[in-house]
Amino acid sequence: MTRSKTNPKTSPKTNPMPSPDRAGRRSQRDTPKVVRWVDLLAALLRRATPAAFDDLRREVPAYGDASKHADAIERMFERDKEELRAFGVPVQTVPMPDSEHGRGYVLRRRDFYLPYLRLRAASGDPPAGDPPPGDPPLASGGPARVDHWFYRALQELAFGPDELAVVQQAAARVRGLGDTTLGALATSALRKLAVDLPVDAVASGDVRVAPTRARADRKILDLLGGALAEGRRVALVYHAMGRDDVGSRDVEPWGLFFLGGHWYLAARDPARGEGRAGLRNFRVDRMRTAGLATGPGARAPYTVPADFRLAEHARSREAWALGGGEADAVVIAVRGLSGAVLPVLRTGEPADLAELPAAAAAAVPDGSTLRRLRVRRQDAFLRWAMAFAGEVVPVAPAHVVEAWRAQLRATRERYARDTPTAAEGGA
Amino acid sequence: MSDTATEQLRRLLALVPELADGEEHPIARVAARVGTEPRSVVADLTTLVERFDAPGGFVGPVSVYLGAGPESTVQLRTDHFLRPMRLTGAELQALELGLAVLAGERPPEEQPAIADARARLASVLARLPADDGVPVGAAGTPGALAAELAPLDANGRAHLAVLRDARRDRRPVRLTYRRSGATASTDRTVCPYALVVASGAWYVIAWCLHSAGLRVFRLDRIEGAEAAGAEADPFTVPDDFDPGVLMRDGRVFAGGEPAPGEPPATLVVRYGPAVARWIVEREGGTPAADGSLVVERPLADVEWALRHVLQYGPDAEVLAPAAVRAVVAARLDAMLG
Repeated sequence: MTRSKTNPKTSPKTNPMPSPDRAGRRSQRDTPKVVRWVDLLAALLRRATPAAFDDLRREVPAYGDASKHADAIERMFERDKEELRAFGVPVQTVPMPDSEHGRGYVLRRRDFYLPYLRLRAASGDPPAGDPPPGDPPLASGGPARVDHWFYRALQELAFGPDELAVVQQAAARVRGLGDTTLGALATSALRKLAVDLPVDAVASGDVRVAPTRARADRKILDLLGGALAEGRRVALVYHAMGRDDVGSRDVEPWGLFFLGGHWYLAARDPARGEGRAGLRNFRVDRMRTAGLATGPGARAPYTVPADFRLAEHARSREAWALGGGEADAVVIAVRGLSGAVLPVLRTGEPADLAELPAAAAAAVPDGSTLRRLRVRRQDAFLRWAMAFAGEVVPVAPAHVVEAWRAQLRATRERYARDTPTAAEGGA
Repeated sequence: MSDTATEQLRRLLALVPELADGEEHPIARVAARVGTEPRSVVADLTTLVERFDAPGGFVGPVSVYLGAGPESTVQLRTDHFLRPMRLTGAELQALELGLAVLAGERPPEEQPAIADARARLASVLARLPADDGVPVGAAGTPGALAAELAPLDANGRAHLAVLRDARRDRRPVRLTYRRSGATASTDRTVCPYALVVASGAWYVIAWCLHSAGLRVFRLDRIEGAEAAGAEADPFTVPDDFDPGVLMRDGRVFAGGEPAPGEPPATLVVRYGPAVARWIVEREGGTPAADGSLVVERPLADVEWALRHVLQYGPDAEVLAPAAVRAVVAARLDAMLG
């Protein structure tokens, strides 16, 4: 490659990068995919009207390869077009009666290119969005406009300083999660904004997130996102940790959420019940495989209830509050005042000594605070209460109290000897 | 879709607007702005030249000039791709996740800015045509994504806001804090060095002026947080401070220092087959033939060890140190009454 430090505008000796003709022409047979994509984008973007495939074949060198069969070229074009759409490029297919195939392709510049962005003053400016008619096109200090007619139709959009700060913090938070793909996407988005706006695309955030060991497979996440958008059922091979069982199931995706370092799919498993009774959360990193369901009825539409609120569904809950079935009203006595039980004093509802059976009331230690919890999973509740090491004690109903004491006795058995013995009979 | 080609397209679409003015630009600076290596810039621009010079191409003129030497420059003239592409659905989805996380952390007065930012970002999305059946992704419906790093109630959000501002401004904070095993809260002044989320809880790692040491405070045990007045001296975070040393496998360890001359204590726990798989998933390790798992951890806090092992009931047993076994047994006796 010939290089020169001389400014090409001022020195006739400077050579541009060699063309393929000089460097050895690349066979069109092995034209890299990105070359075809960029060719296709440029061919579409230079037009204000739809392009027929014949037009594109003339303007995209790889599609004019005479050594290839016309059908193969057209399949290549279709594949390229779909891959660009998957990348996010809004190529549209429109009717074009006069063309060979009766359809054409459009990529509007204003749909593809980023609007000009400017920073709105802290107050007094109009809200962000398209500027109202008659508004000056560009305030002083706004983005530099490209001096070419291709870009004249682009709109202008204003970000408020608070909004921009929040966007930067959001990107930093995503990078802090430790998912490199998501972090790179957030950074890529900010780099686009940074062309016009005062944004540090790689600024570190104010919160550090301890990375979790188990990570969701990016390809599975993408598939689930696509299935949600299209309302398609998903076939999973899933490791149910509770039963330590790996099994297949076809589910109806209702939403994806990120909680405590893990991605979850909220989906209805028809085998588990009708409506919300069949709704389950599947941790994405426990999915061994995932694909669009293909069995009988797999493409039949399903309905997510209009009143389903993913954010509400995804809210953190203790494990004992999850699951279907009837909830047990369990009354606990919070008898400690340590920092560990402070959150417990805000859990559930207040309960009163007078509502307890006499025997239970008598067992409540003096000075305790009573709370009533809606417990759906007794095993999870016992584990949760045990972790407070005596500061949280169930006092009603009787069957939960008995299960609690049985758990205590069984645990105490582990320490019946001064020193642990070999694993047999151990934990 | 080829990941390599996708990344190259992403780089090219970021690269060209940086060079849109037709002037010479240092390659290293351009590479830094688009988040790549100088050699990638050269390779990507080579691709661009080959594309436009290929026979039959009719997409407009492009010229690339590369200077030589360690401070080599690049100059590009083209009519195409002089503005960045709008945000892709995947990019917006990533930012949506961050905004959803922030929405769960911030006090009410900061929520409007988050909602406005979400709407503004949605307006710069490259919207795919709906009639082609191409997945739009969750980003196509702003706000549909739910996310939470760790639960925070209203008090927690308010305390977090105070700590965040104090960390940013390097100003101490007066904390009212109740330790895990303490029955009364105490007041102390701390210098917040880092805010950390681990194991589903928020922590602040701070230099405690009260105890003259680095301490970890759990946010849900903070009863009050108040910025020290403007008269308080700003603090500096030591250059060698790294919150990562206190985090392992998604947890924060208090990092208590052993007494001089004493080796650091180790907690050894055996988990039964019924719970071992959860521990393996979270922390790694290889179960024994019977499905049980033995894990060793640094022992910084006996109270933490007690609570940790009790949550598994008879499915976890402290093997060592003997003193901790005795503490667990004594606590169980007390719980049984």
